[in-house]
Amino acid sequence: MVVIKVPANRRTSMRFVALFTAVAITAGSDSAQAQIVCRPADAQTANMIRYMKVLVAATVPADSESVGVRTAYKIPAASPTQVTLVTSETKCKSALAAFKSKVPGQSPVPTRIYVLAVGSVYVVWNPRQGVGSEWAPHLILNSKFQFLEGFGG
Amino acid sequence: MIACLYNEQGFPVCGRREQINVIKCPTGDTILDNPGFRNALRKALKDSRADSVPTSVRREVGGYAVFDTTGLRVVRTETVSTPCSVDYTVPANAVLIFHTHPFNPPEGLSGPDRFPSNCLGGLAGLQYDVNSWGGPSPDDWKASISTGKPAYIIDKKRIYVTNPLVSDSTQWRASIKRFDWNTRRCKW
Repeated sequence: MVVIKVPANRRTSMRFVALFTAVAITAGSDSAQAQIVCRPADAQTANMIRYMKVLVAATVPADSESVGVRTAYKIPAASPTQVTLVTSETKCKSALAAFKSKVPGQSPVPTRIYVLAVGSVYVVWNPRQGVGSEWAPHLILNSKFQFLEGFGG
Repeated sequence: MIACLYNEQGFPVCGRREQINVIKCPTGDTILDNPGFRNALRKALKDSRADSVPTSVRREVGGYAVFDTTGLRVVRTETVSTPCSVDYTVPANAVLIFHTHPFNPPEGLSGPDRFPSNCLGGLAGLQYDVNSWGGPSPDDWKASISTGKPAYIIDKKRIYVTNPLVSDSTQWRASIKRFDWNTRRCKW
């Protein structure tokens, strides 16, 4: 909310104040929305964080299937504590750009994205758009947000 | 020792173990241990052309099962389908819904199959993941919950069974029942 205080000793017309306030509020909300690219924590991130923690910590022979999946997905072994939700808008913008480049033609064009840091890579996805398949594409990006691998989950 | 086998109509036939054919790889799931249902699932996977190359010719197929006077009856109702989607109808009296995922999941140190080029939504070339949500896709879970019926999903190695009462998506992975049907440990 934008609050504009008008000094009592100024003869500012109320019309100007109203107009200025409206412009300020509009500009403020656009600016705020444009900056929020990182999708926040929710059930999807909770589920994926749990899954990735299993993958990064898996060992052979105790959980060779998870090791196989981890290798197939080009995700490095890591400590489960290295699986975190990314909230840096700069990183999310880079991830979103990579996602749109690898998954073009999505409608509506995604403007927000889930980003998990998983050791030295990122897992990036958007909720499924409801076009032609059951799964949502999940991309694994390296530290420079370049595509490494992907899975439908 | 007494053991039970389900006949082709889905009714149990019990007798001494040495006198009847004991079902291979019993699961404890009475529907999945029904040979009629197993045959229907395998036929569905075959009709999916799950072994075909290129993988783009594969198709999901599906339907439902009901109990009637003849036992468990399996009905296929798929209409529009691709290698990674299918539309099918389900009546209110169905006891379960089912469909195929015509791909190999990971097994041991082997990775999963990749989705073919005609899987839309950006999936082409990506890998078939069965661990994000336990095996079924999010849409499979939603269909199971909305119809109130367990979904039986068969891929080239396993069967995954949902619990339609689990609406919390963070519990889907933990609540899934998985059964091997075509792995090194178990072959029907």
